[in-house]
Amino acid sequence: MRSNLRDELEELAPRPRANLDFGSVWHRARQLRRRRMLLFATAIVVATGGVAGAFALPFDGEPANVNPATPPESRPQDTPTTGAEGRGAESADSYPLLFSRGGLNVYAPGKGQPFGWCPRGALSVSADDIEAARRLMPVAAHVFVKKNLAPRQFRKAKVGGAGVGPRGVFIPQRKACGIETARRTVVLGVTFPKVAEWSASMGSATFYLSREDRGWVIWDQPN
Amino acid sequence: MAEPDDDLIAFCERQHARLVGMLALYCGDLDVAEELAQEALARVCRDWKRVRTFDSSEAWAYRVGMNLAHSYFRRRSAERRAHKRLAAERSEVPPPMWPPEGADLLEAVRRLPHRQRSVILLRYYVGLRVREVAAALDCPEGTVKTLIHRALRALGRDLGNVESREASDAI
Repeated sequence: MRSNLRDELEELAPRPRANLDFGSVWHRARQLRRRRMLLFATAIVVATGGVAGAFALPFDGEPANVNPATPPESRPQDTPTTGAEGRGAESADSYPLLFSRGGLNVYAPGKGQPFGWCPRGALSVSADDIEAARRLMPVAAHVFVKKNLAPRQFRKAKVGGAGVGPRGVFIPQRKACGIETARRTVVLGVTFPKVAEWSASMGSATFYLSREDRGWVIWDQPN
Repeated sequence: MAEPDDDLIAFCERQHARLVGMLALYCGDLDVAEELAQEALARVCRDWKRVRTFDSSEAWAYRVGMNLAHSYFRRRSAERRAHKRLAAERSEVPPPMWPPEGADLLEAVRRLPHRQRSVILLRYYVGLRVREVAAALDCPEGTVKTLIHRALRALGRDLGNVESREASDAI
């Protein structure tokens, strides 16, 4: 009769032949940590489109290459871009209204429409415009996610950084939509704190916004 | 990476022997078990800031150990296939000091599917509660109870009579 499985397993299990050498465990832990950091850095470089893109994106510091804050009526060269040089007939003009608040219209891809169609009527952006986009994005992300994804955890978005872009030669949107469109696009880094607790990749997103006559257009989400 | 704190060192020393034992029973090879245990503890050290906040840090360490064992099995089967392809002559290896011959319980445990083997070892060798086993294997408690029940039934079939008390204890 087998008396007790617990006792038998205890009796059967071997003991380690030597005590734990914590020094070597710690050494290995440091190696693993270095490897993880290297992988993380590589992933950032790949995600931002090469080394040039990784270092050119003005996410953490002051937005670079931005027109000084000037009132809209005094902008002399505010002609819209034509956009979409390299793409098909689709343009971000067909993106429907996402929401309207305080006289400000925000447009984003509707059901069945992909991100990434170029904005044809992008206007130049000033530092004030970037600030306006920063304030706008948490609400826009909230409404957009609510309409399209619905999980509660994606709400309460926070804007981490903003700047004009995209930069870097490998970024497809820059090539596809033209440099002028890229210069007139606000890049916003958004985090979803609840999601970031369990997934770093899904917990953050980048959005491209353009200012047009009709309002703001959220026209791409590269990651 | 900062210097290790006393809690971490104590945790590693406390879990080392049990981790080696569990992995040896799981893999059937003491050398491999010692290596895997060391690797699992290194990962605990790497993520200690996060791991120390878990309800059951031990369960996390055992889960890492078992995942490493699965990777080892995968690697070994690939090696075996490569050996077969090359028809390499294998040199005679002296019999290992462990496991002992005639350990029918060990054989029966090793014949269990890997999830049943995991729950049996975590529950009866490591001594985790059903809730902790569920957390370690990332599955519902009901699944753990089912796996324990099936594993005990299979062991009972193989060995004749694993005491029915174990089954009631599991549920």
